[in-house]
Amino acid sequence: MPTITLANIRRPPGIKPLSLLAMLASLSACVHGVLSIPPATFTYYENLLGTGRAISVVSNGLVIDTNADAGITLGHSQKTYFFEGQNSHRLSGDYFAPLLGKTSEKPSNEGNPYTLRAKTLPETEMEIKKPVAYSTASVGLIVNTNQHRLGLIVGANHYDRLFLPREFDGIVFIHLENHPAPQRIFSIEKEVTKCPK
Amino acid sequence: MSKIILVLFVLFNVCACNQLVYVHEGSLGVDFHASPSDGNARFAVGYDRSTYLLVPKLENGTDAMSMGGFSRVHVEGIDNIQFAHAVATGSAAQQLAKRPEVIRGLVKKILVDGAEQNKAEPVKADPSKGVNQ
Repeated sequence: MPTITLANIRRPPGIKPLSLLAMLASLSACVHGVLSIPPATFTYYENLLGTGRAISVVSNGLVIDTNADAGITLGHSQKTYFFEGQNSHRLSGDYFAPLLGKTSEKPSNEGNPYTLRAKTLPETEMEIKKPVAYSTASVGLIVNTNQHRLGLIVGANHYDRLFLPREFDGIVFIHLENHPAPQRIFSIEKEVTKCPK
Repeated sequence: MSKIILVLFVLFNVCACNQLVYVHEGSLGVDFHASPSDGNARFAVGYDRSTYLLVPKLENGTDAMSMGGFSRVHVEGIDNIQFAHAVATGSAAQQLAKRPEVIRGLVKKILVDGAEQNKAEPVKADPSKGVNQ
């Protein structure tokens, strides 16, 4: 019968610290500020007009997020970050003419041009940087450590946030549904002639 | 416990909002957190839901930015949540205020057309791309 000492407790026989770290590293993934065990699923979205993009991060397990919704989640986590598109900067004028141009027409075969559609993009090219909005749905133990939420949640939580700087001059709209199927409509257009202060 | 309350009290009073913020949140369970950027705190046990809009103000109390828009939040339990929000600021907000027909058109474009499309063409999940597609 081996004698139980403090040294034995700190380093259980048969499991070396390096081996344990190697096992955790093989089960985890760190992409764009998200460390998850097991690896999370990243999906990139873009609308047809190029005025809105989104990246969704779905994970089940342990997730450490260092982006806008920074925190630790133990359980199921589904986060979607929304960004400007390459066509989000526009000259001043009638903002609403393009939006209203097809209101009275039958929907085209491509549907609503502002609907975000999944696109194939390598994970290395996805950047979760300066989102305009984000939507999260989590179940489990959630510890938030960011300027928007600082605290603890045990249970199920749903959080949608849209935030614009004071100098923003433009229009943003967002529509999120999850029934009968997930759908995201998102667009942001802003003045290109006005420099942020 | 008293120290936690004191910290939350300080955060609530010293933090100023310098962004236009629209938030919808709901929780089922125990929810205890503060929002330093918004200057509020929340403690809920059970089911709780809240929606709020923050508009930054100047020191003299006037609004720091022009804004106009509409929003709709439809909730059925904890699973079926529809969040829709449209906001225009600056010159776009001034245009919106002068043209009420634009608001009707936006509502139709963003809320009605989008909902109809979602019901007609449900997005199918692609296992190769994860849950969301």
